[in-house]
Amino acid sequence: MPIHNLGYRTWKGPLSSANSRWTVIAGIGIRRAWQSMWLRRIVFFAWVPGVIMAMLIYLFEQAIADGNPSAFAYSRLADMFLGRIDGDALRHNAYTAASMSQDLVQHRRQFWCSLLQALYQRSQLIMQIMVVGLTAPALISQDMRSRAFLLYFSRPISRTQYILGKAASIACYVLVVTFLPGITLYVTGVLLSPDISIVLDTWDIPLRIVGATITMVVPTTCLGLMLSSLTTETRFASFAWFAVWIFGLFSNTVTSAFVAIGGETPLEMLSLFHVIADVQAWLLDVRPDVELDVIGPLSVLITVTIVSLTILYKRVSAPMNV
Amino acid sequence: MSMLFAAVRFEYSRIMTAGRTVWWFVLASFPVLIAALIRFFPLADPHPDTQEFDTHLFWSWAIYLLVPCITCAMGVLLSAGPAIATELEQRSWVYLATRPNGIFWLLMGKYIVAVVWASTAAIAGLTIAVRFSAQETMLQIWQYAAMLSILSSMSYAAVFMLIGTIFPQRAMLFCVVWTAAVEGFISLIPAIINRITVQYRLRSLFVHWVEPGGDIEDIPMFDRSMADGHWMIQIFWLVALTAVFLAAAQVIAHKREFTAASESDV
Amino acid sequence: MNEPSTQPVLIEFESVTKLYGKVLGVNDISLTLPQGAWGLLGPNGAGKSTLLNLLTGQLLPTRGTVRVLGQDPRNNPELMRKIGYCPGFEGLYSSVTGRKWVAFLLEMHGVRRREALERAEECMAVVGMRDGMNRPISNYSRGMRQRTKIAQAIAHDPQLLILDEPLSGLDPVGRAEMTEVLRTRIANGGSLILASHVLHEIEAVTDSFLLISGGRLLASGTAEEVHELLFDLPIEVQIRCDQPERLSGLVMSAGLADHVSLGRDQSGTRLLKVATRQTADFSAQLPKWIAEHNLQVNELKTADDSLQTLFNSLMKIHRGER
Repeated sequence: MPIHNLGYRTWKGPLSSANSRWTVIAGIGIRRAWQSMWLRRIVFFAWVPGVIMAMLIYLFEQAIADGNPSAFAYSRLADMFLGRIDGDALRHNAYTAASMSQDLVQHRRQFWCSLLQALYQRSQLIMQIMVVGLTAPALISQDMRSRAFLLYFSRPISRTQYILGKAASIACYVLVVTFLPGITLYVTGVLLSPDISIVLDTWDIPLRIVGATITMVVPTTCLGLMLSSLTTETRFASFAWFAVWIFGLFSNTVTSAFVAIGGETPLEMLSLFHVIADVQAWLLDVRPDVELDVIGPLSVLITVTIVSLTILYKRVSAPMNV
Repeated sequence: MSMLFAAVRFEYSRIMTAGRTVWWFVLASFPVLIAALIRFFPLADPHPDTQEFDTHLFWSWAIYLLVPCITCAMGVLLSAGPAIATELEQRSWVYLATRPNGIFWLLMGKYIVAVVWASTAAIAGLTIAVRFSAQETMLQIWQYAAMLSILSSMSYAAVFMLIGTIFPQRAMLFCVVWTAAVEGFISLIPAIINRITVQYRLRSLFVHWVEPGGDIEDIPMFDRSMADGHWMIQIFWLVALTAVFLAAAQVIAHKREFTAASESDV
Repeated sequence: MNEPSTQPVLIEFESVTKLYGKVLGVNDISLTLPQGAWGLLGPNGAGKSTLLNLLTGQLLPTRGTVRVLGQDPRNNPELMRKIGYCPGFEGLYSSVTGRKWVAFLLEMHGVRRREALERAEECMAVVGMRDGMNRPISNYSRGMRQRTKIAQAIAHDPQLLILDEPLSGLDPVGRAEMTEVLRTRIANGGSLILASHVLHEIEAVTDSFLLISGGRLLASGTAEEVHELLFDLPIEVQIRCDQPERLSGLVMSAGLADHVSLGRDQSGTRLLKVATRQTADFSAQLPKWIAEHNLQVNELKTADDSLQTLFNSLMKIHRGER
């Protein structure tokens, strides 16, 4: 034949592992999310609280080095930035106790852990709520709406890989606003300390940070994805996401007032915000002197994760109307 | 006016779906659930640090927080916040924008439906929740909470609609941030700035009604974050704020160039 | 320019430019169209939709002025009563019936509900949706949705109909029916602007064209004038072979090409481009040359679309390359 008929040619080059295809989905999700100007701003500002906390560590460690706690304003700074959370001994951070103590070294570990817990509970968890609220609702709902499911699952991609890829898209940014500021705070605190012996006292804190981060990342990512899979309208998924937090927070506010006057209710478990904070307080060992009941909060988080994943799998596997 | 009725009727028919009805029940049942759980868990000995426990005041505040604050705000967040985003996302905006005064009637129709939807859910939940208070003043609590629910729905719907017009692609997020930052925080700052927040006016009305003739400056924590003066002034302020926000939303919707935008990116 | 009627001015563009940030939508377009039917012809991304959005007041020109029926279309309720617009995308509400949707849009013109429903019914029947009008739009096929869109555009009997790819998604029967609807409107004195990238779609409705590409108005005229342009233009054939110089010599010797050019593609492979008006002779001769001279031809490609060739040529003229 005079004309060289090339025709369709199969790919002869190397194929990546079948187990790594979720990384492609994750990569696209991450790049797409990064186009959002507001996400970039949140990620940028997520580091600010850590910087402020690092200054508090510096002042605290300087007070130890100088042996004169009352001469420094760190206790006032601690009160101003961190304050006291009324009504619950579990969340009573120890820095106020530490600031009144003459033996700062004794409370050093507790102070560091309390700052980390305050970092996570006061700022990073809120930023995480916003980050997931920005990234998660559209991830699966848009695929369902635009029939992109047909494109994904006409290729050799399993449901698990699809979900893993989508979850990784969210988890990447959540880690950037939670794990990285936490670990950076720790490293900065070490660098701002007068001597290296601080590492001997606080060597386990990075591991606790990992645990605290997992507590934040896993259930919230699963919940966000699950809500996205329930609807083709992104706004409903967004609303549901924020509703979970707002309803929980308000339930806790109202019932805390009740508890403060002597009533008892199990309603604190309704607030995912406080449930995560409780588990983190336990993981970060904020109050070693107090026996914390963490079974309830931990059960809630595990239940949320399992239920979310179950529903997510069912929704992703369900036949689609085309 | 027939266009307004047409817009209201059409929007109403669009929200009468199974999903939205479920959300209506979720909103209505939220205060009921919390009130029921509080009611059926016994009150132990009061905490030694608290003063004599005033059940009327406690339930009033609880109902105020649960119904006019949270239920109404969440209700209009779902409907009014993404008013424009909905139309842009599904690319139906242009059909109304090429009708005479279509944008105006569309927004007004969505606003009215949002207010009605949220306030009916709130009042339905209130009607059952207040019964759990088991107070002699149940009817009084119901009356002012119902009025506050309507005012809250009206005002917050206008605020969220304005935010949704400015940030159509991130409407939900900005509405939540606004509510937390402005209505939750700035409204407590004892300065001029808090007097133009909706929460300041609602709170002032609430205190005037729950404790008629009471000296509000004696109430700790809120002594400088509530308005003095007749309750009609607070209603006037709320209506004025609503009108201003709605007008601003209309102006922005007419000035901006909304085209066939694709579904919002993350 | 061939003026189809001597009616008052339909559209006036005066040095209109529209920029989306740094991206050019339309570039310095000036034109005056009398009442009548006009086809807006251009490839994808030419600026047709931008032009139509400017006409309907959805966009403000960055520079210049737009007048429709003598008025500024931006926020002009009076003008909107006289315009019917059928956009190129769908954007229909899935949960309502076609009839109710068209009736609602009629009510937004101030028509009473009962009359709006009756009129909607009539219009849906005109576009061939009598049987499907009471079904939810979510159950409509693509062609049915397109017909419903046309129905809403004509329901209020506008003076000017603006249609963006109105026949897209219709089967051949549907195309014929809708074309007839549009021709009837024109015959009854209505004005029309029909945007499409398919020449014969516009040809079936009107014989007055505006050719737009790259945001510029390239040419205007009748169907005959467009066909003359097409007829006059050489077809460009792209050949990838092992001896392009030899083949080019053969082509030139035979006098079958207007011009030839040798070059390389992105991968460095040599490429021969032949522009010829004698496509039949060229096609007959090429296999003979290949056999006689033992040429190896790997790829033979022509322009997909003669219309694209037309636009390419017009752009070259505009750039002064011809």
